[in-house]
Amino acid sequence: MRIDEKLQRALHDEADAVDPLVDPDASAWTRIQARARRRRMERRAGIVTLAAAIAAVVAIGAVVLNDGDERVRIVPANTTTTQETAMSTTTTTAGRPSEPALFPGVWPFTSQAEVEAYERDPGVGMFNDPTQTALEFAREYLKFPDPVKVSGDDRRITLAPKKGSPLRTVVEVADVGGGDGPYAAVGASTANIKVTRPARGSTIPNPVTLTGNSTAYEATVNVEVRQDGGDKLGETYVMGGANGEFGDFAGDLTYSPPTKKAGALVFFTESAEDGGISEATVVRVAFGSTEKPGGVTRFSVFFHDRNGKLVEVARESGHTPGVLRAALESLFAGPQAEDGAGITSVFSTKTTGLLAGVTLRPDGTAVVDINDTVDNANSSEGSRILLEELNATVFQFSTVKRVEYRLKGSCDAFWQWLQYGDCRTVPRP
Amino acid sequence: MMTTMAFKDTAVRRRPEEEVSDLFRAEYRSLVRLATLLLGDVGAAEEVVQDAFVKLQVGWARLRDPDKAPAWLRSAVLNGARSRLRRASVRKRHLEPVPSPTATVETDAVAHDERRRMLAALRTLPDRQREALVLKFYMELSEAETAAAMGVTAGSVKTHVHRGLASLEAALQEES
Repeated sequence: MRIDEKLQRALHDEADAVDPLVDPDASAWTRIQARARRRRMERRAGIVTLAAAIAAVVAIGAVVLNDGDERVRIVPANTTTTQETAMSTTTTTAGRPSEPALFPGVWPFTSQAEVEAYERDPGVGMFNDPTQTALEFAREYLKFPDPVKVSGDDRRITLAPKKGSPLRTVVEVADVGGGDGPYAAVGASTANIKVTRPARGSTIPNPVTLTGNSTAYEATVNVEVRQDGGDKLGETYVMGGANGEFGDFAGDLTYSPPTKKAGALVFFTESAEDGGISEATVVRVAFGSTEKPGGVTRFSVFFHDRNGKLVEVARESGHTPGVLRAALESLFAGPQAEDGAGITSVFSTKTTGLLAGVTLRPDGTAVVDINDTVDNANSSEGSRILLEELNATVFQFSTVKRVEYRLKGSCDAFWQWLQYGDCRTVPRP
Repeated sequence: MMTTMAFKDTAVRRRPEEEVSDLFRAEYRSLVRLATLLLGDVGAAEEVVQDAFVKLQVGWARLRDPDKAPAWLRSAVLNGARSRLRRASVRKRHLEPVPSPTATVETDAVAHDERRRMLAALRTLPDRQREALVLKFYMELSEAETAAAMGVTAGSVKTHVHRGLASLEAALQEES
């Protein structure tokens, strides 16, 4: 008898010996029904508990460690807090309890809807296992070269970036499914990068202040702001200690306006040996309004100088249904007197109100519709200038992956007016 | 929105308990047997299968295609069994073959011994190889169905089956 036949017989013999009850009135069915009821109740209770926990954090306001000579006052919500630090005094507005709760997951689930979608179709079920979740997080989100587990339990898993590396990052995972998975990574930490600001779960302003204590090769710790889904909104680096000596770091990071409500700050170092990412600290954060305390939104528009070179001009807006819309409205209003001499554009006060509509689709496609043609913009030089200014203004926002322009609702009409032919989509440069 | 409307308009829908009850009658026994072959422990197998049914019932309203519920259950059982094995406590126990309630003194001693050795060798294989062999030779699923249940490609299934059988043969020869 062949090995496969022997195996088949052994499996059937073995299985035939197992005879569970199949009567739905029997105990297995009763247990399933009882557990299903309990699961529904736990899920409801879990959502309420999570919301309450987040609301409690939000209600406390800014939670910052009392570190060195940094002094922080903890005050109730719905008030404005003043954080007095050794470096500067900044004012931020605490969150309101009525704001939606911050989902704890950084990756791969950043909302309850994503968890539920996964539960419906778990594929190989990788994220039902906490260790696999931690390893995939390290590989896919942190970009570790070949992470390996060193130690840990079901909640805190210590990883090395690759076999043989002495560096360690602890990935914290949480059950986001209500009892037995799936799991999501909710944060990470390395002993070599300790972050004191922003605090975990806090709502960050833009720019966000970064403080902490670190040791790294050439003292350099890289920092990225990523929104849910992984898009990078901004990056910088801070300098702490080097060669095993710890030193304080401090800096500010300005980032592109987010399109998601939450994300994470990722602090990481790169290997001196091969440039790979070798350790990381990840802090879950919510994004505050893009409005500054005075109710002002900042962005840029792009015009040209006398030499035909594209120039960036800062703008602010007091009321913004959307920052992309505000930027386009400001672009179409043309250069202002305060921009100084020498700034030119195909847009001017005559084209104020040119914007018929703008939408940003979930796939990153911006659709920009104008309601009229623009004088002198359909010559070869005019269309080059118009497209450069439009593209630069639209693509300053990292969430815009491509743009489709329309004239009175027609993409063909836009490109035919500029004598480029038929409809096309402009990809992010 | 269109999908939701269509769904609401077409259906006189049964309650999830009724749908799951039918599936329970049709699938429970074979799923417990499948999980027992993977885990080597009937009690643990029943828990894994019951858990899959609990998840199915709780999430029934969100199931896009109820016809795929049996395949979903198989995947959920595989995932549950995998998690159990990783949690290790079962691993020690599952090296012991499950006592057969139908075994009698008339049982062919040689065949019984060969079965015991075959199952012991099966349980030393990597998870994926063991799953592929059990799905193919016990559940008698096609390569495509096995691949869907495991969340891998059909090519991968072939590889796992081939390597698994080779390892079993080597293990049995080594013993004899």
